[in-house]
Amino acid sequence: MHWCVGVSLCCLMIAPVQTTFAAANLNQKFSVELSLTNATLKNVVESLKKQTDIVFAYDLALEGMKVNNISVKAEQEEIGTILDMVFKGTGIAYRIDDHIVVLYSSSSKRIAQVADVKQQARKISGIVKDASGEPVIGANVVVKGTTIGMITGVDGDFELEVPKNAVLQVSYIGYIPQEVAVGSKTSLNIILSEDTQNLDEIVVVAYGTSKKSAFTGSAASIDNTKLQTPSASFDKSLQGQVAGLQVMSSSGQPGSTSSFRIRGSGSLNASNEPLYVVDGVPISANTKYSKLADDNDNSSSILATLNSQDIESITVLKDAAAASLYGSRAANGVVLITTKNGKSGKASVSFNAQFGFSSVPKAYDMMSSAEFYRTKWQSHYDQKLAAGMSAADAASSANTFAQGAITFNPYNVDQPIDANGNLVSGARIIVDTDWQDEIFKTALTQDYNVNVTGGNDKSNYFFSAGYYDQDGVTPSASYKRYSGKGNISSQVTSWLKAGMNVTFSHSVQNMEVGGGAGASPLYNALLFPNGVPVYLTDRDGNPILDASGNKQYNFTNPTSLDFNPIAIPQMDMNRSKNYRFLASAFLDFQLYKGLNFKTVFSPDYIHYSEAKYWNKEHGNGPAYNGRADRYNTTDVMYTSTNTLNYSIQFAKVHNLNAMVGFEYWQSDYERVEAGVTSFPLNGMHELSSGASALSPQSKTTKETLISYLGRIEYTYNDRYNFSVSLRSDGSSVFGQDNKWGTFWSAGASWRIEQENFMKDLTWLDQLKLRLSYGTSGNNQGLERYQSLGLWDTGADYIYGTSSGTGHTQLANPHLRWEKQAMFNMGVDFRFMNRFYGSFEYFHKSSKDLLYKYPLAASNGFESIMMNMAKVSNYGVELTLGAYIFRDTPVKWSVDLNLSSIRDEIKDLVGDDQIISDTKKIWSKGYSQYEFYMPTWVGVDPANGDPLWVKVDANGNRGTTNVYSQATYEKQGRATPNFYGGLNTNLSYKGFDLSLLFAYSWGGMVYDALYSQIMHDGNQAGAQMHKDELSAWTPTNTITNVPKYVNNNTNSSDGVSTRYLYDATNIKLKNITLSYTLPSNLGTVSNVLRGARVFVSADNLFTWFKDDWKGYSDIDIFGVGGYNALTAIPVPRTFTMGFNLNF
Amino acid sequence: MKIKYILLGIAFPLFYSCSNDMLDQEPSTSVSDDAIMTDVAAAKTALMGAYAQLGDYRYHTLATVTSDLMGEDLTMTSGAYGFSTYNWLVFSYQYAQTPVDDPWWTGYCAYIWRFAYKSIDQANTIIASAETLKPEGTEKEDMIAQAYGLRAYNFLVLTQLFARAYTDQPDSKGILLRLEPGSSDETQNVPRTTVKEAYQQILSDLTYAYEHCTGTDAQYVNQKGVALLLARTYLNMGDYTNAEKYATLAAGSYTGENLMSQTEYRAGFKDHNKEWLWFFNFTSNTCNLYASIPSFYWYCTDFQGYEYGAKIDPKDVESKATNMLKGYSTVRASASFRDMFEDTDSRKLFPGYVYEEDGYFISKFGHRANIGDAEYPFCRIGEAYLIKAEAELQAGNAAEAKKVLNTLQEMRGATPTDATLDDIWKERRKELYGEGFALNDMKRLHKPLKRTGPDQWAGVKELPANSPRFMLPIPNTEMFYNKKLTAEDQNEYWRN
Repeated sequence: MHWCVGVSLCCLMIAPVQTTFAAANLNQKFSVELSLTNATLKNVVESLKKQTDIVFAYDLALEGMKVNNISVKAEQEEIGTILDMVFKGTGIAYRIDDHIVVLYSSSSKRIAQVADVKQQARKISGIVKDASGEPVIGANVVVKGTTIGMITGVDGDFELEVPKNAVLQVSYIGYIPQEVAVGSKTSLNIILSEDTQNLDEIVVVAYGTSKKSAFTGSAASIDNTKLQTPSASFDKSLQGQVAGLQVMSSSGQPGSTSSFRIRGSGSLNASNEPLYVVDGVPISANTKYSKLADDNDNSSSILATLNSQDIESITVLKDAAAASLYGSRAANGVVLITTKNGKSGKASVSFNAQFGFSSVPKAYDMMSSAEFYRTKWQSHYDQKLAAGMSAADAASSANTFAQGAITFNPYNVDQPIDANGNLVSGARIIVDTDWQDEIFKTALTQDYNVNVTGGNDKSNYFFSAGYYDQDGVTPSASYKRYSGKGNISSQVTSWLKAGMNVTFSHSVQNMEVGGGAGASPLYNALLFPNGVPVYLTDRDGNPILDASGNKQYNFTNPTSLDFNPIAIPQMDMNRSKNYRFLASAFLDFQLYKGLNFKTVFSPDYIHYSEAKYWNKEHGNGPAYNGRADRYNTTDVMYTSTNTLNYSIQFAKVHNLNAMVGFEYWQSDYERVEAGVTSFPLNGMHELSSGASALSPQSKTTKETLISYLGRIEYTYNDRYNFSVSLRSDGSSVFGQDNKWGTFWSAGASWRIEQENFMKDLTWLDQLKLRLSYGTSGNNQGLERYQSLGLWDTGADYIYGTSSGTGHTQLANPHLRWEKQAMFNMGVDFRFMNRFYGSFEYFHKSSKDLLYKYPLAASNGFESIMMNMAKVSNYGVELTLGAYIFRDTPVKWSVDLNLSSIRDEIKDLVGDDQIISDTKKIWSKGYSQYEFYMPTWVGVDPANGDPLWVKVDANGNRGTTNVYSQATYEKQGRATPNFYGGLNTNLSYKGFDLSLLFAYSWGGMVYDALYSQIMHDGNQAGAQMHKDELSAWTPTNTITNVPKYVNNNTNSSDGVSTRYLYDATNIKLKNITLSYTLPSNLGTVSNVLRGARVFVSADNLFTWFKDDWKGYSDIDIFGVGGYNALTAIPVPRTFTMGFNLNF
Repeated sequence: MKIKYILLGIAFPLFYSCSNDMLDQEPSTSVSDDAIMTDVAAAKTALMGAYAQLGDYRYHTLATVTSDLMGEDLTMTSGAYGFSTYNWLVFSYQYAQTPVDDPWWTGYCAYIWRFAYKSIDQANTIIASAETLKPEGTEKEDMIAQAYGLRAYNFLVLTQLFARAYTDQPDSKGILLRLEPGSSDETQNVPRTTVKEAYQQILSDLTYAYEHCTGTDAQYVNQKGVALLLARTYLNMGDYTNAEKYATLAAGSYTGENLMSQTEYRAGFKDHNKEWLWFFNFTSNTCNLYASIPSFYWYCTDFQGYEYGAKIDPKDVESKATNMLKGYSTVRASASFRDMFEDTDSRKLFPGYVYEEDGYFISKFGHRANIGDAEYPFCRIGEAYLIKAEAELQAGNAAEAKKVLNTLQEMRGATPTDATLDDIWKERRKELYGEGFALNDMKRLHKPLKRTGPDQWAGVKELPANSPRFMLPIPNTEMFYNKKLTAEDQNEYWRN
């Protein structure tokens, strides 16, 4: 913000001007009483100077300007407020430049000349530059101990008449002030060092802002320069950037969601995702809007509706003092998103464009079609020989068998392998399809944005438009977004500020079918043997052409009835269109000095219009003779927030800020589904084309939340800060007995470096201690009517032609939000203006956790949601940074964050053996992500049987080759011991190189995909990994791969530690090289105010500690390290782009 | 300044515009417990839901086809001759089901159990509301009777799959007789009772249904269908007097005219007819499509250019098949089973085969407009003839047994035979294959498992009579969370 003042200054100034100067801090509050009649500007300025020590700069020609009658009385007001009152309607405009107030005529825009210039002995001149040699425009240059000074011009130049032995004080926002003795020099080159941290930085907090120095809570901010991402939504770029925040992208599907974990996982069955707040408005981050995504094991991120180019900064609120003002929604932390606002000054236009190329760098290493054929052949051949068949007959039978199992003969002859197991002469492979290679492609991402910003002292505006188009790396996945945004705010009158913030976005997502469905290209690419051809192929391996001479797709394969992963995505359709309109309008009244009433009304309209089409020829469609479905989902939400804020400073050392508020939120959700079947022709997608209709469905739900909230912040002498907050929430989703809950927090911080006894430690810039404790709740993840006993109507319960109901939920009138209490302790430090960091410890205990209490299946239910469990999360977070080279042409900075967080189940109300479908066990004293499965021993060298640990009744550990007899054991957590990121930045002149590493150390991951392709024959026709080639044979007895048997049922591919890996990995998440054009390019700079070009690579490289077989993207297995279904891996992306500012 | 207060006056009421009433929200697409328990029309929807649960593929398809594939007459393609198994049912055929529900194709018992007890829960809710349901009258009476009938049918299916035969060890472990609606109160969990107690409950429920059912629509539980279920139950128990009594009440007469014609039998089961006393009414909208029972068979009337039942060139199986509707098509008849039929037998619905080791296609089950769109019989009069024959034989009336058996055989186009117990069992296999009887008959008649021929490729080819492997495991979803069960309640073969 301060930077922009500097920028606008340079626009207005043509020549260096001198100013008066004295040491009045304009950030403080002033009390003024003026009563003037027929006054001139000079009279006003003199009166103000007397009362306030404010220094004014203005053109002497204005001195006599009539300002008529002025009557102002103000106590403890911001400078801006006072000046507004004084100069309103006078034709005088002002600008606050750090230490001085510059006055000018609002009509002429003529700038200040000096008020009282003294004759000086000697003239000197000089240039102020920064460390990289760029001129610093608008810096204050003042002769120490005098009021002589001026502001530097566009070339950083200044010229002053100075007394003898003068010392110049040079200062500029964002730089460390410097004193330079003039001595006998007449020309000076002054280099300012960047001030790497501004202690008076403002942070966005719950329901307002706070000075960072006074903040008592735990929060981390990320500015937009760190949000550059080739993904549709900003969330994917936060990985590795915030201590205590774990980000996992569930899929590389364009427009898909991510999982956020702020300080561990406090919930078991409820959501662990944080609350998202955009410009003060809590928004829906519900991931359940898209029925298509649900049906296709995919996801559609509502956060992708926000254009990341419109985001100014993101603040992650981590502890209770920071977050608990959001009450029953704060338990998982809060992510505050601040969008770009208008900047005063001449209109500025910015355009940026970027292009990215994505591809999947690593795939599973599969058997070739010859290897697969041989494996099938050999097993059958051996069995037949053992059964007494002749070698010739066994070979022939095995050839038939192998070809049948592949559903295609990949050789050019009928009996490619002879009785001795040799390839017959002339036999050659005609089909060897690398299916992963077939479905993965290089995809293009394009992103264009233009924005306009500007304003004057009263009003400012920001408008932007964006177009984002991402093609997926799989056959039909893609995402397009059109977005627009407008932010306007205006000081309407001296007592009323009003503004509006509108975002509109429209996106079209073509969804790839994920998961284990037959229609999933990823699943098929793993399971189709290489011997299955893409196109119908003759015995010589040439495509069989149809009547028009086109290749014809082959739909015969051993794993997915009537599918072809290349063809079906083109023939079927899964298209999700999303419309979002998110607006907020506010009125901010100044009722009395320091007392403001602000009312914000924010509608959030979300609409999904989805179309599914299954062609009538192949895939899922033929069962219906073609099928089309439409889903329309609408959620209309609004939030009304009303707050009364009072702030006062008294006796110069006491600062008090108090706020009370009321908030109402509601959501009306509606979904309509309709479908038809029996299409006369292919290619007709509309409902009107189908001959018979499926039962249409609709569903309407509503949820409300009523809240009362309050907060008091008090600061004594800039040293001791205290805050308390309170919120009471009433929610419609909870049981009749528990509608209301109250949450509170208290926090304190102590700026130790401000103490007198610390003043001597000049190398210490900051040492701050923070403590907080508070409570919050979690109501996310609960269905809207979860407390009621429900009999659902729906298609699943229709019998014949009569509609029916299914008993889907047992009543629980006691259902309530989850409760959480968090203690936080933090230390922030900074020294030598070069090193900084913070250390935090937290302990979060969560109770009354929503918990699917398991019931015996004979109840007709397998669980009921109850508030029963307790867990705790505790850990430390460390952030360290250094400006290794700062005041040199080459600059280098490094920052590192590290988090170590443990979660522990404290109570499960008597149940200590809850086994979840993600292969975890929930038991007291352990993490909720504790893997639980049989322990793999290896392969019995005697016979090739798989062996697992079996613990007998006496606790002795033996082995078994029967899977269902193997003992389930705890196998370690999925979550890492510690994780974080390392960011480093190197720059020289306009060049800038940055690298971001994300690392995760410890924890386990289960490669369920590998288990499906290392099946030892347990899955009939499925393709196998090359590792299966080292399976046990009588001559290869020492191996970890059991004997391969066709139609095996030994369950050696059952869940066990055979497929469990150490998840430790380090990822080079992003590397960016950019070049920024110098800003002093003469006439070019008059038009083009700035330009930057860059190239970057995302997910360039990942290092695994373990012998990882899978895709480079381990995150698709999720926070819990387990996902049996396939998901598109997040690709490697190379991006280039440019920004232009006019 | 005045406008300031006017604007504030507009903004301020927002503080007061909400009330606590807004926190009470009711769902729009669900019915409350209260409505189900007091209103006959609402309760009727719960009854329809109970039928729907019964028809879920994870119950109806899996339980029925598993019962057949655990016998010795049917087999599966091994996935080796161009007909992939997609892992469906292979683990049933191979006797490799486990108490774990993952991977799902090894955990059918958990799914069968889940949907059976869901159906039972809905029936229980209706039965428990007998006092409170209004209005009184025939509709209510019939609805409650149907609920009893459904509950009994579910118990019977579970008993046949999860417990030993009554004729084997009546005092061994039976099933869980859940008679109250589901509850989160663990003290209401029920223990595993004996086989005898299970049969007593089934009889009691069926008797209630028999006495109170008034409807005649064969898609719902009705008196004649219940009579056949009673006959089946008594036959399982070896109570031949009652088995005969109820078989006769179900069939009416044994003259043959109440049976399907040969043409009807050959047309592929898909539409109910006079012989079907109770059937499941799948429609194109509600059927299980590829996961339906017909999908696992192969429907076609014949292969053009091939003699009926001949070996078909793999490339012709789809192009030459007449009236084909192909689903997964993985279940086959073994050669040994096929050879039991005479060529004139209308039940010999095996239009061809691909390889000797792959078994014969079975075209007993047809489809209407789309795959799986076919009604499915739960109770057929044909079975009543067989129960009558067996009961008469056991009662010492061999001549009467032969007469009834021969009537059935003649109607089907087969040459009349003697009527020893083995002849009758053989006839049951020929008449009822694919309808879920094979496993239970083996258990009830103390037959060992003997799979013969190269098309029986399973690892398990022989098991002794009354083998503990003839029972599915009690799923872990019950074993772990039912506080009334101990490790001893697991079926013997799966006990650690």
